[in-house]
Amino acid sequence: MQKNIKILIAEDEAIIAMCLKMDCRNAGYNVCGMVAKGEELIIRADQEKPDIILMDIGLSGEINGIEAALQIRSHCDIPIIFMTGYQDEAMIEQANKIHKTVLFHKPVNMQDVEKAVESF
Amino acid sequence: MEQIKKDLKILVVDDNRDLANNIQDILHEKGYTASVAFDGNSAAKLCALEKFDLVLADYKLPDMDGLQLQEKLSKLIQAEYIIITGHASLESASKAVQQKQIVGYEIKPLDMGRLLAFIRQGERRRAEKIIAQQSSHMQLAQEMARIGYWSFDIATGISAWSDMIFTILGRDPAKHIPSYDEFRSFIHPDDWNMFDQAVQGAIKGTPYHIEMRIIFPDQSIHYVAAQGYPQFDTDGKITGLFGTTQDITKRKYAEEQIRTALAEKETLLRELYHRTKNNMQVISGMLSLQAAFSQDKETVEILQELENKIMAMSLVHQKLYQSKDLSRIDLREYINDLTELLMQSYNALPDAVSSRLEMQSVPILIDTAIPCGLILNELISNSFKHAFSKEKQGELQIELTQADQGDIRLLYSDNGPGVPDEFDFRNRKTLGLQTVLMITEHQLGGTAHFDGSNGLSCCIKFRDTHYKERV
Repeated sequence: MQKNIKILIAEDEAIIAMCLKMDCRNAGYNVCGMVAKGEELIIRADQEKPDIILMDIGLSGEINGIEAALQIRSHCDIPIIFMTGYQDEAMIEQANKIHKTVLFHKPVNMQDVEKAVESF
Repeated sequence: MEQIKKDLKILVVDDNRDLANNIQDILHEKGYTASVAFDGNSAAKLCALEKFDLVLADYKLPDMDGLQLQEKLSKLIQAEYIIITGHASLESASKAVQQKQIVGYEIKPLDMGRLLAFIRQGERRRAEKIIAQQSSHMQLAQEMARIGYWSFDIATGISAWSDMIFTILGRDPAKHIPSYDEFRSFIHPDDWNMFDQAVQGAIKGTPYHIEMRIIFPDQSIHYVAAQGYPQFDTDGKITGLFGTTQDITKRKYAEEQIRTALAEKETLLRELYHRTKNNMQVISGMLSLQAAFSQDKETVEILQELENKIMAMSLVHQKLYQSKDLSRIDLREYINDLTELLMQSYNALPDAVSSRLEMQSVPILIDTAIPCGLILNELISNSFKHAFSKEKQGELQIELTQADQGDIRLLYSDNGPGVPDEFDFRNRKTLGLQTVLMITEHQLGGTAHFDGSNGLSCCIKFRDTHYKERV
């Protein structure tokens, strides 16, 4: 079930990033890259032009997921799937304000991700 | 606190027995309580037993003089003294009066009228001393409690403040004249509205009790509790206000510190749950990756089982992190989520295996929640391994109830083939079964009952009181 959808993964925890990559591949997606930092995500998103970005809000580096998403959104509208382990209401609200995004709490259920990808 | 006595207790001391008895009789007639002693030492003995308020003593006693007697008795009682004297000792008696050591002296031969006047004078002096003592206690109490009192007269607009008010406001009494506007100017502007409303209410007859901030000349913020009451004249008309202002700064800062400490504790605890959960998810991820790279079916199963066990524990931490109460989670919610995750992990399609959950909301401690999760994990894992087959739609049922006495009952069952009658649950050497029994009995101090006649069911009873709340 090759859907030929390109996904860029942003997750600072290596093991979790590897699991996500595996889950995405099992779901038939094409994982075009994995990044840990917000800065890196912005550059790679520009280079790779993925169909979907699957990203943790809490990233390493100076720029967190929300800032990175805002910067990406300023020049293109790649759909973004946010993931978070935190219950920070203010942060969740900020994330929800950005258009063409969904937010899932960790651990993320792959079926939910697939449904979200289809909805974009 | 000592009360002002209306009926004075008088001790008459005179070696002239007839005279002493005579005075006693007259005092009795006038309504006083009186006792007699005929020398200084027996007077002292009486004073050790009874608290006399006034001593009427002859200057010349067989064993001591009147002033020596006073010195002796002053160690035993607090009383006023009247000395009966002859002309010979007039000078020392007169000196004692001047030094306010005694109320007065009466020169023999006695004039009972004058003597009674002295007694009334002694009575008054005693009352004054008690009032002075009480008022100094009151003063001290106000200083200790840091309470000041004030009054305000509506007709004249004049305010009066006690010294403590100035201290509480951080102002020098020499530089400020008490007034409503002056007081108001010391209050934090954000509290003006509250203060104005309270005062307006009091003028109309409603007392107030408010807490406000005061800004000191050095700009530091202090807190006061202010009370105000309307003052009425005999016709019931409000003529003014009076009240107290108490410095509660220390209390406020202490409260603030406690609040901060509590919030910090909560944040730390939440962060700790969060990190524990994250670490467990990483461990889960490692097992999951390992399973993906393994070719051996048995290894994959072992890794998946381990992953589920860790997931069951990690979910408790996730729930705690999300809960308002940082020590308890709702067992119902937890079982709901856990069952869903486990079914996903076994790739159970909704039409192949269904679940029926009937549960009450049961808040439990983390120490009880984790064992419960591990038990349920074993039971569900067992059903997927042994009960569910491709031929028949699988079903698992979970019931959760809590009796009034706190007994929690968790009933799990599947619709598999069950086990033969002779199956000995207790002596089976399977890890899953041993784990369920061990966790229930050893860790939760509960009971587990298996039944294999109609599918496999397991009824677990336990209480949440096995552990004490730790955080």
